[in-house]
Amino acid sequence: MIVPSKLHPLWYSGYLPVYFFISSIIAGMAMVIFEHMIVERFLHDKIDEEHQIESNNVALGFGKAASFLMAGYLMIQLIGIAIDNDWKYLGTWWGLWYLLEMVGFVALPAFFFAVGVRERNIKLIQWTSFWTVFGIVLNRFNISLVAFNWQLPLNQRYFPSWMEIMTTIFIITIGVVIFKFIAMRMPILHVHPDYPDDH
Amino acid sequence: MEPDYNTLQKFMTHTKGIAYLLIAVALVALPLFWRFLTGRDNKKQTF
Repeated sequence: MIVPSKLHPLWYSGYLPVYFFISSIIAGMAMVIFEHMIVERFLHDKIDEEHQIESNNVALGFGKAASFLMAGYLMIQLIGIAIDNDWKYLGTWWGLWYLLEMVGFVALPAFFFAVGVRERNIKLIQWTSFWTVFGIVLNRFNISLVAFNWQLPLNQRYFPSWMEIMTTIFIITIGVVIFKFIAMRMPILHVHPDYPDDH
Repeated sequence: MEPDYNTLQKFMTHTKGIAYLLIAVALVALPLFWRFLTGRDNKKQTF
Protein backbone atom coordinates (compact mmCIF):
# COMPACT_ATOMS: atom_id res chain seq x y z
CA MET A 1 0.00 0.00 0.00
CA ILE A 2 2.91 2.39 0.58
CA VAL A 3 4.64 1.76 -2.76
CA PRO A 4 2.42 3.32 -5.45
CA SER A 5 5.38 5.01 -7.12
CA LYS A 6 7.73 2.02 -6.88
CA LEU A 7 5.52 -0.82 -8.05
CA HIS A 8 4.56 -1.09 -11.72
CA PRO A 9 1.02 0.34 -12.26
CA LEU A 10 -0.27 -2.98 -13.60
CA TRP A 11 0.49 -4.65 -10.27
CA TYR A 12 -0.15 -1.67 -8.04
CA SER A 13 -3.72 -0.75 -7.29
CA GLY A 14 -5.62 0.76 -4.42
CA TYR A 15 -7.19 -2.71 -4.24
CA LEU A 16 -3.83 -4.40 -3.59
CA PRO A 17 -4.87 -5.59 -0.07
CA VAL A 18 -8.05 -7.06 -1.57
CA TYR A 19 -6.00 -8.87 -4.26
CA PHE A 20 -3.73 -10.30 -1.57
CA PHE A 21 -6.68 -11.36 0.58
CA ILE A 22 -8.57 -13.11 -2.26
CA SER A 23 -5.45 -14.73 -3.72
CA SER A 24 -4.41 -16.00 -0.28
CA ILE A 25 -7.77 -17.80 0.03
CA ILE A 26 -7.16 -19.38 -3.39
CA ALA A 27 -3.59 -20.26 -2.35
CA GLY A 28 -4.83 -21.90 0.86
CA MET A 29 -7.32 -24.12 -0.95
CA ALA A 30 -4.90 -25.02 -3.74
CA MET A 31 -2.24 -25.82 -1.16
CA VAL A 32 -4.55 -28.20 0.74
CA ILE A 33 -5.26 -30.10 -2.50
CA PHE A 34 -1.57 -30.05 -3.48
CA GLU A 35 -0.51 -31.21 0.00
CA HIS A 36 -2.76 -34.25 -0.31
CA MET A 37 -1.25 -35.00 -3.71
CA ILE A 38 2.23 -35.03 -2.12
CA VAL A 39 1.04 -37.08 0.86
CA GLU A 40 -0.62 -39.57 -1.48
CA ARG A 41 2.68 -39.95 -3.31
CA PHE A 42 5.07 -40.24 -0.33
CA LEU A 43 2.97 -41.33 2.66
CA HIS A 44 0.37 -43.49 0.91
CA ASP A 45 0.85 -46.34 3.41
CA LYS A 46 -0.38 -44.05 6.22
CA ILE A 47 -3.64 -43.09 4.52
CA ASP A 48 -6.73 -45.14 5.29
CA GLU A 49 -9.74 -45.51 3.00
CA GLU A 50 -11.93 -43.05 4.89
CA HIS A 51 -9.29 -40.32 4.69
CA GLN A 52 -8.83 -41.01 0.99
CA ILE A 53 -12.57 -40.61 0.26
CA GLU A 54 -12.77 -37.46 2.41
CA SER A 55 -9.71 -35.97 0.69
CA ASN A 56 -11.23 -36.56 -2.73
CA ASN A 57 -14.40 -34.78 -1.60
CA VAL A 58 -12.28 -31.92 -0.23
CA ALA A 59 -10.45 -31.71 -3.58
CA LEU A 60 -13.77 -31.50 -5.43
CA GLY A 61 -15.19 -28.88 -3.05
CA PHE A 62 -12.05 -26.75 -2.83
CA GLY A 63 -11.45 -27.08 -6.58
CA LYS A 64 -14.91 -25.70 -7.21
CA ALA A 65 -14.48 -22.84 -4.73
CA ALA A 66 -10.98 -21.98 -6.00
CA SER A 67 -12.19 -21.99 -9.60
CA PHE A 68 -15.00 -19.54 -8.90
CA LEU A 69 -12.82 -17.34 -6.70
CA MET A 70 -10.19 -17.18 -9.44
CA ALA A 71 -12.83 -16.04 -11.92
CA GLY A 72 -13.84 -13.33 -9.43
CA TYR A 73 -10.18 -12.43 -8.83
CA LEU A 74 -9.73 -11.98 -12.57
CA MET A 75 -12.72 -9.62 -12.69
CA ILE A 76 -11.48 -7.43 -9.81
CA GLN A 77 -8.04 -7.27 -11.45
CA LEU A 78 -9.72 -6.02 -14.63
CA ILE A 79 -11.76 -3.50 -12.66
CA GLY A 80 -8.55 -2.34 -10.93
CA ILE A 81 -6.96 -1.67 -14.32
CA ALA A 82 -10.04 0.21 -15.48
CA ILE A 83 -10.20 2.38 -12.33
CA ASP A 84 -6.55 3.44 -12.68
CA ASN A 85 -6.78 3.63 -16.50
CA ASP A 86 -3.75 1.37 -16.93
CA TRP A 87 -4.81 -0.09 -20.30
CA LYS A 88 -1.91 1.60 -22.10
CA TYR A 89 0.63 -0.55 -20.22
CA LEU A 90 -0.90 -3.80 -21.51
CA GLY A 91 0.78 -3.30 -24.90
CA THR A 92 4.29 -3.16 -23.38
CA TRP A 93 6.60 -6.01 -22.32
CA TRP A 94 5.44 -5.46 -18.75
CA GLY A 95 1.89 -5.85 -20.02
CA LEU A 96 2.78 -9.14 -21.68
CA TRP A 97 4.30 -10.42 -18.44
CA TYR A 98 1.19 -9.28 -16.53
CA LEU A 99 -1.09 -10.95 -19.08
CA LEU A 100 0.94 -14.15 -18.84
CA GLU A 101 0.35 -14.12 -15.09
CA MET A 102 -3.36 -13.36 -15.42
CA VAL A 103 -4.15 -15.71 -18.30
CA GLY A 104 -1.57 -18.44 -17.71
CA PHE A 105 -1.80 -18.63 -13.94
CA VAL A 106 -5.31 -17.41 -13.10
CA ALA A 107 -7.72 -17.84 -16.04
CA LEU A 108 -6.40 -21.18 -17.31
CA PRO A 109 -6.15 -22.86 -13.87
CA ALA A 110 -9.68 -21.58 -13.10
CA PHE A 111 -10.90 -23.26 -16.30
CA PHE A 112 -9.04 -26.50 -15.61
CA PHE A 113 -10.33 -26.59 -12.02
CA ALA A 114 -13.84 -26.21 -13.46
CA VAL A 115 -13.26 -29.02 -15.99
CA GLY A 116 -11.78 -31.20 -13.22
CA VAL A 117 -14.83 -30.59 -10.99
CA ARG A 118 -17.27 -31.24 -13.85
CA GLU A 119 -15.54 -34.47 -14.85
CA ARG A 120 -14.82 -35.41 -11.20
CA ASN A 121 -11.22 -35.83 -12.31
CA ILE A 122 -9.20 -35.70 -9.07
CA LYS A 123 -5.82 -35.98 -10.84
CA LEU A 124 -6.59 -32.95 -13.01
CA ILE A 125 -7.68 -30.95 -9.94
CA GLN A 126 -4.49 -31.95 -8.11
CA TRP A 127 -2.18 -30.95 -10.95
CA THR A 128 -4.11 -27.70 -11.39
CA SER A 129 -3.64 -26.99 -7.68
CA PHE A 130 0.14 -27.27 -8.19
CA TRP A 131 -0.17 -24.90 -11.15
CA THR A 132 -2.18 -22.46 -9.00
CA VAL A 133 0.30 -22.55 -6.11
CA PHE A 134 3.09 -21.84 -8.60
CA GLY A 135 1.02 -18.93 -9.97
CA ILE A 136 0.55 -17.42 -6.50
CA VAL A 137 4.32 -17.68 -5.86
CA LEU A 138 4.92 -16.00 -9.24
CA ASN A 139 2.48 -13.22 -8.29
CA ARG A 140 4.27 -12.60 -4.98
CA PHE A 141 7.66 -12.55 -6.74
CA ASN A 142 6.30 -10.16 -9.37
CA ILE A 143 5.06 -7.76 -6.70
CA SER A 144 8.10 -7.95 -4.43
CA LEU A 145 10.91 -8.36 -6.99
CA VAL A 146 10.13 -8.20 -10.72
CA ALA A 147 7.75 -5.23 -10.92
CA PHE A 148 9.14 -3.55 -7.81
CA ASN A 149 11.31 -0.49 -8.54
CA TRP A 150 10.68 -1.25 -12.19
CA GLN A 151 12.06 2.11 -13.32
CA LEU A 152 15.50 1.52 -11.78
CA PRO A 153 18.31 -0.20 -13.72
CA LEU A 154 18.77 -3.86 -12.82
CA ASN A 155 21.95 -3.38 -10.79
CA GLN A 156 20.20 -0.97 -8.40
CA ARG A 157 17.29 -3.27 -7.70
CA TYR A 158 16.80 -5.62 -4.79
CA PHE A 159 17.59 -9.27 -5.18
CA PRO A 160 17.78 -11.57 -2.14
CA SER A 161 21.27 -12.56 -1.05
CA TRP A 162 22.26 -16.22 -0.91
CA MET A 163 21.82 -16.14 2.85
CA GLU A 164 18.20 -14.98 2.51
CA ILE A 165 17.54 -17.68 -0.08
CA MET A 166 19.12 -20.33 2.17
CA THR A 167 17.06 -19.10 5.16
CA THR A 168 13.88 -19.52 3.10
CA ILE A 169 14.89 -23.02 1.99
CA PHE A 170 15.73 -23.83 5.63
CA ILE A 171 12.31 -22.68 6.90
CA ILE A 172 10.46 -24.66 4.19
CA THR A 173 12.58 -27.75 4.90
CA ILE A 174 11.89 -27.48 8.65
CA GLY A 175 8.15 -27.26 7.88
CA VAL A 176 8.23 -30.36 5.68
CA VAL A 177 10.35 -32.34 8.16
CA ILE A 178 8.07 -31.46 11.11
CA PHE A 179 4.96 -32.33 9.09
CA LYS A 180 6.46 -35.68 8.07
CA PHE A 181 7.60 -36.37 11.65
CA ILE A 182 4.04 -35.82 12.93
CA ALA A 183 2.25 -37.58 10.04
CA MET A 184 4.46 -40.66 10.44
CA ARG A 185 3.87 -41.00 14.20
CA MET A 186 0.39 -39.68 14.92
CA PRO A 187 -3.03 -40.66 13.54
CA ILE A 188 -3.30 -37.72 11.14
CA LEU A 189 -3.96 -39.54 7.89
CA HIS A 190 -5.73 -42.54 9.42
CA VAL A 191 -7.90 -43.49 12.38
CA HIS A 192 -6.00 -44.67 15.44
CA PRO A 193 -6.80 -48.41 15.85
CA ASP A 194 -7.39 -48.01 19.61
CA TYR A 195 -9.88 -45.14 19.21
CA PRO A 196 -11.93 -45.89 16.09
CA ASP A 197 -15.03 -43.88 17.07
CA ASP A 198 -13.41 -40.94 18.80
CA HIS A 199 -13.82 -38.32 16.10
CA MET B 1 -3.41 7.54 -28.35
CA GLU B 2 -4.44 8.36 -24.80
CA PRO B 3 -7.28 10.87 -24.62
CA ASP B 4 -6.45 14.07 -22.71
CA TYR B 5 -8.21 14.58 -19.43
CA ASN B 6 -8.39 18.23 -18.55
CA THR B 7 -10.24 17.75 -15.32
CA LEU B 8 -10.40 15.09 -12.64
CA GLN B 9 -14.10 14.80 -13.29
CA LYS B 10 -13.51 13.86 -16.94
CA PHE B 11 -10.95 11.26 -15.90
CA MET B 12 -13.25 9.80 -13.24
CA THR B 13 -16.25 9.75 -15.58
CA HIS B 14 -14.21 7.84 -18.14
CA THR B 15 -12.59 5.31 -15.78
CA LYS B 16 -15.66 4.79 -13.59
CA GLY B 17 -17.78 4.38 -16.70
CA ILE B 18 -15.58 1.54 -17.93
CA ALA B 19 -15.45 0.02 -14.43
CA TYR B 20 -19.25 0.00 -14.21
CA LEU B 21 -19.49 -1.64 -17.64
CA LEU B 22 -17.01 -4.31 -16.46
CA ILE B 23 -19.09 -4.86 -13.32
CA ALA B 24 -22.13 -5.44 -15.55
CA VAL B 25 -20.08 -7.95 -17.58
CA ALA B 26 -19.03 -9.67 -14.33
CA LEU B 27 -22.65 -9.88 -13.16
CA VAL B 28 -23.50 -11.79 -16.33
CA ALA B 29 -20.25 -13.76 -16.76
CA LEU B 30 -19.81 -15.05 -13.20
CA PRO B 31 -23.26 -16.71 -12.92
CA LEU B 32 -22.69 -18.28 -16.36
CA PHE B 33 -19.31 -19.58 -15.16
CA TRP B 34 -21.00 -20.90 -12.00
CA ARG B 35 -23.52 -22.76 -14.19
CA PHE B 36 -20.63 -24.26 -16.16
CA LEU B 37 -18.85 -25.18 -12.93
CA THR B 38 -21.85 -26.89 -11.32
CA GLY B 39 -23.47 -28.12 -14.54
CA ARG B 40 -22.85 -31.78 -13.80
CA ASP B 41 -23.51 -31.74 -10.05
CA ASN B 42 -26.20 -34.08 -8.81
CA LYS B 43 -29.45 -32.20 -8.44
CA LYS B 44 -30.48 -31.85 -4.80
CA GLN B 45 -33.94 -33.20 -3.96
CA THR B 46 -35.85 -30.34 -2.36
CA PHE B 47 -39.05 -32.25 -1.62
